[in-house]
Amino acid sequence: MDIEEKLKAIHEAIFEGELMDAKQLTKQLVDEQIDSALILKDGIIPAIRDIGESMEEGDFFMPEVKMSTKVLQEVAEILRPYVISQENLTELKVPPWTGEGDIDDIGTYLKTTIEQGVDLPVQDQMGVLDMIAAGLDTHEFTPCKIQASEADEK
Amino acid sequence: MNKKQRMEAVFNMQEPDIVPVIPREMAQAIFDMGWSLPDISTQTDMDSDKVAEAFISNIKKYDYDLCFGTYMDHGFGVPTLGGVLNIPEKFGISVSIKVPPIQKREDWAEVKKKLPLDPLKDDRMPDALKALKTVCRELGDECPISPAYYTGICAANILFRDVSDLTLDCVEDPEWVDDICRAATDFSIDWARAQYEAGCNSVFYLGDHFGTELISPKMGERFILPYVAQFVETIEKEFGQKTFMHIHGNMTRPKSYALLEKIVKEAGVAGLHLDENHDAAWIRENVVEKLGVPGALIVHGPDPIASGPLEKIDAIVKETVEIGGPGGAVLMGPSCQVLPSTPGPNFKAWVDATHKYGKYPIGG
Repeated sequence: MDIEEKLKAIHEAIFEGELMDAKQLTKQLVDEQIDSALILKDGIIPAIRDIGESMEEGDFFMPEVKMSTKVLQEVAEILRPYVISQENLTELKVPPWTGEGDIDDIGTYLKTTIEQGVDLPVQDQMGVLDMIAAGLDTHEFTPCKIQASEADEK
Repeated sequence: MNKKQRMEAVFNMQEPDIVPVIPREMAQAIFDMGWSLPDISTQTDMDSDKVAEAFISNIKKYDYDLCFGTYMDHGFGVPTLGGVLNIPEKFGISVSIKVPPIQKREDWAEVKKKLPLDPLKDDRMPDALKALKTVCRELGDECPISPAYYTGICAANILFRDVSDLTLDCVEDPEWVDDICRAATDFSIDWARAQYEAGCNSVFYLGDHFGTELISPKMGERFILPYVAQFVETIEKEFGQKTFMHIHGNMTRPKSYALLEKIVKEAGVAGLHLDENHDAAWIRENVVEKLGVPGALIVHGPDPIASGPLEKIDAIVKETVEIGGPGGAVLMGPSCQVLPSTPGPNFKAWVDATHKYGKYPIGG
């Protein structure tokens, strides 16, 4: 497998929630001293964008997103020491969670957050990915709760 | 027509005198009395007198057409199984589960030992039933009073496991999810029996916040459909009542609609209350006409019912009823529930506008 094929395979492994494949391929590329920015740009970010689009189109639901998130977190863990220090991470601003208070907006959130993040320096892109993974992992996906808290804020 | 006759007409696919309103009132009834949730509930007790007073007062004040007879949150059974509830003091926030009984899948073995969970012996449920009996005695002659709860994966979420973890379980260990869905549905059926025995006299109101919002339609066929079918059959056989289902998710997508069709045609659900993804024209065409069951016309709970202003509520209700009302077989519902923080005047405006514009013949 050449580098391009490996990056495509990482993309697919995150999208499909294949943890072992994604970890193994990321480690291989890191060991081969491939630029972390390239792994982010051509391996990870396209996967997150695909997840967002699949949610918007009704092909991905919460279990699939959770599986992909789990993989994303592990891959981010492998790349983090090569990309960003822990001190820099804490300086990044956390993006807002949902837009309209509906579960369907998670797809929009993923896509727009990634699209806003791709022009940032690579260490900030990594921070954006961390925040997406953390947000998806901890958020409570109960529509009534989201609606209730939105109304409460108003 | 009284309220019972109105509901009967709708479930017979006819035009009643006016479009009936089902607010799915829950914590709003408590806040509307000027109380906060700790005033009526602790982890282990519920004040049945206050709850009965709140629910009787609520329907008398707002004059909607189908009520719940007691306060129900998502915490019944949870403390008994080892979980912890969050009972907020803040206005407008519902009870939630702070610590679920199953935090790791390995906890199931311990939780299973505490099953079956008898609603009559759980801490708060006998108090909720006591309130229900009072409400049924007071209002049951003329007002339909629905029992309510959840089945399948939704009941498993409420009773046992955090929603976020449970969605992942569906992929990682679906057989285990089957197990907890079965156990949760057994509890649902026992709780339904207890509510009918306490005096409920109308359709069962079955909630499902997973729908096709949190899991795929294919997963819905496994973790929702069979439990709904089991439930509907039991309610019909034991109490001669139909089941009316509230389900979340965008059902306009073909695969989601196919699940909805199975919920009606295979599981036997006799009416649908969907969410804000569906406008009045869609409900009329795809629920009432294509599936042949009554449907709830939707006005979004947060905006405008909770947020107002009153003029906006009136205008949206008018449009919704004029599009979806002609031909009958519809009710009016919020997108989920009348939210706990909904101001009284907004609630009243929504009900009154529905009765005003929903008078048959609509537009006549």
